[in-house]
Amino acid sequence: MAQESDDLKNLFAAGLGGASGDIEFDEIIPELEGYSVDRKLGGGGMGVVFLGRNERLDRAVALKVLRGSSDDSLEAERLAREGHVLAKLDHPCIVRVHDFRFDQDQHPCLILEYMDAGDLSERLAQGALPREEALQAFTCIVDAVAHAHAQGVLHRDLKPSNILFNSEGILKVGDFGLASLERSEALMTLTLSGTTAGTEAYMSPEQKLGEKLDARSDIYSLGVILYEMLCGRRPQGVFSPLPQRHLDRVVRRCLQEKPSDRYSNCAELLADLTEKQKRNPALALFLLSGLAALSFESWRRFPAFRNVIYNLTPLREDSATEASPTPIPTTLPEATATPRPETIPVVVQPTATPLAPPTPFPTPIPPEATPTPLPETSPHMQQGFAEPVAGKLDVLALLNEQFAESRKRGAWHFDEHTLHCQQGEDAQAWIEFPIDPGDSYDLVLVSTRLEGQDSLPLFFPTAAGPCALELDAWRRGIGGFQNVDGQDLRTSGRSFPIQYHNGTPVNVLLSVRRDSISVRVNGEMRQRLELDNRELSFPPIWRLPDTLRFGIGVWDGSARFDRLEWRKVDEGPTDRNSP
Amino acid sequence: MTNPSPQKFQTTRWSLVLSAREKGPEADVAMSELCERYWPALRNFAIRLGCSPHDADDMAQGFFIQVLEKDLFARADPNRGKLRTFLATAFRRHLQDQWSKAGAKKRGGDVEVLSFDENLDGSESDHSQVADREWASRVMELSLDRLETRYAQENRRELFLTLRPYLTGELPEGGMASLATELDLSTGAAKVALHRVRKRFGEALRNEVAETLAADEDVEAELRHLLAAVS
Repeated sequence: MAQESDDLKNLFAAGLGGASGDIEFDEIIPELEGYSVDRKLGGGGMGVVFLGRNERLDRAVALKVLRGSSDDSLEAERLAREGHVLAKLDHPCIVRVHDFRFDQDQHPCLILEYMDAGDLSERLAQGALPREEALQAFTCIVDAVAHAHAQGVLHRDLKPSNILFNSEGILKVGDFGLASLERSEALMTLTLSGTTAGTEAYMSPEQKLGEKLDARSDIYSLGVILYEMLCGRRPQGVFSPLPQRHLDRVVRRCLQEKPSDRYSNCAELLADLTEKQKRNPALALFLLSGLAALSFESWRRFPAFRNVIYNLTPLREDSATEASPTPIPTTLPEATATPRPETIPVVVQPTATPLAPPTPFPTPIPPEATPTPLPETSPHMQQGFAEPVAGKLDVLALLNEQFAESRKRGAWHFDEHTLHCQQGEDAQAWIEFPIDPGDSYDLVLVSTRLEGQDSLPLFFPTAAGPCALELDAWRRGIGGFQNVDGQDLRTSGRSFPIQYHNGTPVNVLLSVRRDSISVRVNGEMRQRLELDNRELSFPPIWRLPDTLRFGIGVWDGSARFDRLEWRKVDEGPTDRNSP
Repeated sequence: MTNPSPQKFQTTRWSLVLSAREKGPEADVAMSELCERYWPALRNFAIRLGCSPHDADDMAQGFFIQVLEKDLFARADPNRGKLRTFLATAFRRHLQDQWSKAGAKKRGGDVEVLSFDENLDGSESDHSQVADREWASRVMELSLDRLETRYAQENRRELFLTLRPYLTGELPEGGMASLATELDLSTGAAKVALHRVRKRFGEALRNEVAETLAADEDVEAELRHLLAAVS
């Protein structure tokens, strides 16, 4: 009885006092429905980041668990509302917020795009960046911040450790608006207590004083970052001027103590930065290449970015002979008049995984190849962006004629000459083309994803077996050929970064030869694969019929296919030693 | 929001009292739930006052029948206090009535039972303390049931049962490493599991107590009161 009484007393004492054990916040492994947690990646004042995996999509994610919990329903709703605002930020240089949830312990938790190759602070620890690289990266950072500002989101904590790289070398700004997520009284104490000296160095004077902030506070932080990128150290006290007077003036204007003396917004900063480059064509060229590396979607959607392109466009002609370490898409100046879709992200060399030197790709159609004459095709083939293919067969027109007999899965239909697929309940939709393309051929495909987040694969035969070309696959923004030796794009190490933007057409030129396959996307060579000793196969996840050789697919979305042309390529007789 | 705050959907057991005093099937369900949740506390209270277990069962059973017959809950006002106080007071009155009747019978020479005075020996505050202790004990049982149900819903009942002895802050012999071995987890994961069950226990206890209070009453104060009652 006495023992029972003691137990009861101890239980009440534990429940009342919260005997939670000696555990720190950053030791707690979060539990979140639908996600597994692999390991802790790091922690800071705001929270702890774990490497996790979305089990349904089999996608690596970063789980950022914020300090403090919200048992108060109003506070929880406020946090959720702000978390969802962050999730709507959609820019190629902003780390994507996939979702916002509360974990099992009621801690607010952001599910983020996983950036696996370190951050800018690690890179700056080794010293300043080359000026061109610094300006390229900085331009993208400012464009990302401008986008967030346009959505009403201040960053509040811009610093090199929040500028992240993935293994493709793509740079993105993370932790947007996290400070606002912690604005509540309960959490603010924790935020401030967790603020590090490093963070403070990037803070605007008004932020240090706890005053009301606007876009100009982020611009101050951007000035500190630009200076550090160019000099390898932060501007403190009376700092030495930058050797380039125009850049020095830009930095100093960002760093003015009074917000009213700074640039009033990011567009103004970008415009001034580029305006000052007009007297420096080489620099302008580098900057242009940085902007060009952003997607066409950015050009279309983000006015600040577009203005910069317009400002720079005339410069390119003057600077055409300047050498540049970064390839510049040759069609960019024309893109201002006739936009060309681009989905090439900014690439800055990360410290963790250096990029391989660019591989010199051959042109997709070798000059010696002799096209087999084929009938002329219908007028709708005139649209698209790739080079015209002589002696081509309009596969879509043929499919249209034989549509009723074609093998397919999912809801497909033709509207005039355009093939549509409106995904039904099945994840996989596919349709077979009524031709045997042979071993050596070229294909032009113009497709537009209208809804969804996944790839629109092209299934085709090769001398090494059936293969799928997928872009924006596995919801990881990667593309390439799969499966190669049984490995898909997630594990083969042969993917390249690429994302569809719903509603924007993508032009693919696939070249299949006996010994290699290669693909150009929107005119740019993205991958070549030697077939020697390779075994290719369709990814089993598509559950295609064994006998299907040639077709296209849609995974969980809807799409239109405007153009599909094939032509045979004569490579001469096969090697006598070949089987 | 995927995981709403547990307090968001909190309902007070007062609502059961209010439902139980109405007529119809919903009232029957509410009464049934009230009986199930708090009958053991009332029964044990009766035992502590000197009833045999058999008589205590009858007393508690009789109390709920009287509630229905005499519409005892009609005077219940959730704005005026704790469910604990209301039920204890009503039950004490019921006991007094029963023992008064029994005393009258005894005086008639029919049956040998203890008198009202003999049963309620001691001051009213003593009786309250006894009632509170039984109430606290029942609230704790219900809290632990609630916690076990939560783990069972996550298919982790076994985990809960293993951790249950360590809710009070103690560790097994051999410390966390030994617990980790028992759970077949890493030491870090065992530490987190123990932290989590203790945190959830605190939530379950608070929710259980909150349901017996009027909306504006202080849960922490009631918890301290119950701790004092069992100390």
